[in-house]
Formats: sequence, structure tokens, C-alpha cells
Amino acid sequence: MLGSLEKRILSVLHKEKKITAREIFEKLRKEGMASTYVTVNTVLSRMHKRGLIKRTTEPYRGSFRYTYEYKDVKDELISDLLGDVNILFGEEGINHLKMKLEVEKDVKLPSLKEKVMPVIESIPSREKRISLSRNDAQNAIIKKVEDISGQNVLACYQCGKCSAGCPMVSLMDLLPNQIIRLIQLGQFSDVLNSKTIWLCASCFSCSARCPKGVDLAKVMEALRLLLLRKSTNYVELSKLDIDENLPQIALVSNFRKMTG
Amino acid sequence: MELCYYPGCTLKTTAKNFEIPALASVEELGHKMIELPRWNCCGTVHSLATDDLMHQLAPVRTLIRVLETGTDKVVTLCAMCYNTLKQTNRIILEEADKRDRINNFLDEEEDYSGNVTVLHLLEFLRDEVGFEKIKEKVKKPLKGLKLSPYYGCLLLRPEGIGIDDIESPKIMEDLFEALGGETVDSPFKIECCGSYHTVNDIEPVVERTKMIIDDAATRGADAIVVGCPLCFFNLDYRQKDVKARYNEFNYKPIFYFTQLLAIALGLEENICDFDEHFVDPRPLLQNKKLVLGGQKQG
Repeated sequence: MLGSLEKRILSVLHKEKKITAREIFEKLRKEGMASTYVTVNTVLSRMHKRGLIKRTTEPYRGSFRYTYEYKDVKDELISDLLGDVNILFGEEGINHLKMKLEVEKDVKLPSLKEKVMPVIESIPSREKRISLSRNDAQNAIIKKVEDISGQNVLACYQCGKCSAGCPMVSLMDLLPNQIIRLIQLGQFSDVLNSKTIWLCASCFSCSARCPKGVDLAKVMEALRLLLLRKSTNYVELSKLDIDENLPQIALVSNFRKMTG
Repeated sequence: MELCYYPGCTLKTTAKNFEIPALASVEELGHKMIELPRWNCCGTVHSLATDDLMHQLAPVRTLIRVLETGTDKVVTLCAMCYNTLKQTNRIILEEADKRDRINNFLDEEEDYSGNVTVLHLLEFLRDEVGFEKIKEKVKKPLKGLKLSPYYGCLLLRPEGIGIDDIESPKIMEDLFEALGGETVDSPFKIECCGSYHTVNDIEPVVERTKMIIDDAATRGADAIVVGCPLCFFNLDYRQKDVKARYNEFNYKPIFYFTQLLAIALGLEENICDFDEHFVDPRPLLQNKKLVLGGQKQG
């Protein structure tokens, strides 16, 4: 979006044909704009860099100087502006704008609608971005995890203490705090496909240290159960080569945790 | 004093070298551990799901059996048994709706209200026998033996279940100092050994074991002492796999705390069944003049 000085410079350029930085500065001062020559010069260079105005180099007193010209940049400006609307307000903001343009008859520039609509259509669709809303955060699967674990996953504020103390963390593809974050964002396919939930051996280090009282060991158990309760096995007994020296508690606990 | 003792599956099979010195030492200290009749499996891991009451039944049945013997206290040795029994007992004490549903389901049993105290043998030795009293009974002080106590997870966590401070336990340190030994502090003493991964994927266990043992060695420990048969297996037997991957790795003997207690109390060395160990601790004990010249070389 344009700043106020940039807008004033554009209106000066719109009226004049070719003009130097000093001439622009003097015109602006006559209009009562409190600025300096250096500032005007800097803003002009920046606008030129962004492709908003035209600049030519011409010989002057044995050296050279820049002159500036107006350039029709409505399209760039519109797409710039809509990009900002998209970043600030997301899909809801764009949809609101679209609705306004469709409904209101007295849109000031009749051509505006024509210009804006194609740009709106070209904005990346929702799938390419992650957005967080109450609806995402409270979808059925999150509720299931919270019900099975008895934990409030939205309480986590991502301090990372769980990951810092996790003895298995070096082998994990997602860190324990990332698991919680992805659940908060409703990104369950990443979570349920990760090795992390199986590497967690319920040592309770994270549970003991979480400043928000989230028992992450219980969340991990709930995630495993989401898969195991569909009669899937993470460990296939028939494929195991069982060492006869293994203590019984190793076998029972492994099968309790890894088979459905 | 007679104690109701819950052994669990592993103490009766692969961890007899944990159980036998425990029974003998407690007798030497003037008490008797009497095995709970008709005990069943504890389930080994406490079910963490709020909607899974089925897996709480086995521990509840065992706790009812304890009351049937006319006592309200049960002592365990295995860290996993201790943890599951105590966590289930906490649910019965604190969550009335779950307690009622479990009691309604167990209609052949008497209702259970959570009034059994679940103790680990270390707690019994500290709180009811007293380390001072044990010190008086020491016949062979563990002089010159530098021990690195290793607690693992289930003797300490979750909060409110453990036998000592959750981040900085010292119950084993206090015991070995009473037995005349020295202790070495390691930050890994409260970390997981890799637990049940040892069944299907030894990778995490090999890495954990190497880290734990290397750290103890750097700090000058002669041996590591544990109170859990799964920690014992991972730290002792998996050293074979560590050595296969890291040629520069040095073996370190692993003890159950009950074995060192028995030796310090002057009991026969053969009750410790050191033949069961992958890394033979006898050369170390001979070196410290705690046992006679041995049969097997380490």
C-alpha cells in the first residue's frame, strides 16, 4: 500500500509530464507538505525500484540527472492492495470485498470491479495456506484426542520444554511441541504419520515439566490409540525376531503400546 | 514384621537375581516378605486413556487380593508393577465415577475404595527399616565401590507416584552411603533407558544405553545400580549391541540394588546369581575384596 508522501508524489507526476526531484520537492512545499529534498529523493528512488514510476537519465551540466514520469500502475497497485488485504484479513477479508463489489451499485470507478475481480480469482486458494480459526481448532478429531487424553491441547503455548527434555527427541521426525502445535492447527495427517508418537515411551519427563500442566504423555497415548483402535498394529508380532533373554515386562508393555 | 509382597511376572523368571537377594536381605533385617497368593499380572504399563477402564481391572484385582490377606500394605520390587499398581490406586482414590464403574463391573469381588498403600522396597527400607538401622547391620561395607544410581522413569514419575524427588532423587545414594559405598551423580539417572523399544527396535535403546554408561564412566563410576528389570536388561544385556556398533565402548557392570544390599549384609554371594549378568560384576567385586575369587571371567 502507498504511504501519504507517495500518494502526493503520484498526484504531482500525474499532472506534469517530465519532472525532476527538486521540482517535485518545490511543488510539494508550495502545497504545504512538510518534507525535505533528501526524503523526496529517497522516496522517488524507492518508488522507481518498486516499478511504480518511470525514471530516465538525461545529460545535465556535463554530468547527468534523473527525471521522473507518471506510469499507469493501477493493475500493480490493485494486486498489491489485494495481497495486503489477503495477508491481513485472509479469505474472509477477500470474500467480504468481493461481496461488496458485487452488491454495491455505486462503486466509484466503474472499471474497478472489472480490474479487481480477476485478481481476486488468482489469489492462492485456501489449501496452500494454513489458517487457524475456532472451527479448525475444534474439529471432531481434536475433540477425540482431548476426550481420550483428558488434556486441553489449546493450553500449550509452545515453550518447548517437552522437546528439550525428551530422551527420544534425537530420533523423532516431529518434535513433541510440534505435535501439539499441529494438533492445534488441525493438521492430523502429519501427526498420525509421524514416528514421534511411536517413539514416545511414556517416560513422563514432559508431563512432569510442562508449565501449563499439559500431560503430553497422555496426548501421545491418545494419538496412538486413534490408530490402534482401528485394529492396526504398529508392531507385527509375526515379523518379530524375539530374543529369548527379553524380560516379560518388555514384551507385555511393547505389545500393550504398539498393537491394536 | 510380615510384609505382603507382590512379585509380578519378571521377578519370578528373568529377574530372580533381583528377587532372591531382596527376600534374603529383608529377612536379615528382621522382616519377612510373604508372596501375595493368587496374584495376577499388573498390566506392566498404566493405561493413560481416560476411557479405558478395562486395563485398570488387573491392578484393582491384585489390590483386593492384598486386602484379603488382612493387610493394607503391599511391597513391590519391579518398577513397572509399582507404577501401575500405584497409578491405578490413585484413580480409585481420586475419581469416584471411575471407581464406581470398576466396582460395578467387578461384581464377584468386594468393592475396592483405594485403601491399600503401594510401596516400593526402597521406600520400605528408608521409611520403615531406616538407613541408620541398615548401617548398623552392615558386615561387609562397600568400601571403595563407586556406584552410579540409575532410577529411570517409573520409580519417579508421574508426579505424586514416585518414591523420591521427581527431578533429584537421592534414596539410592543414601542407601549406598549407609552400606559404606560411594556414589556418583549423573544427570542421566532420571532419564528413560528406551524401555520396551528393546523388543522391536533396539536403535533407541542402544543409543540410550551408550549415553548412560559412558556418562557414568566419565564420572568415575565402577558400576550402575538399578531398581527395574527392564532398565537392567537394557543397560546390561544391550551392552552387547552397543559394543557391536561402537568398538571403543567399555563394558560396565550393572547391579540390582538388592544384590549390593545382600553383599553388604554379608549374605552368600551365590544368591545374587551373577551368572545371569551379561557383564560379569564379579571381577569388580573381587577387586574391591567384596567377594571371593570367582569362577567366571568377565
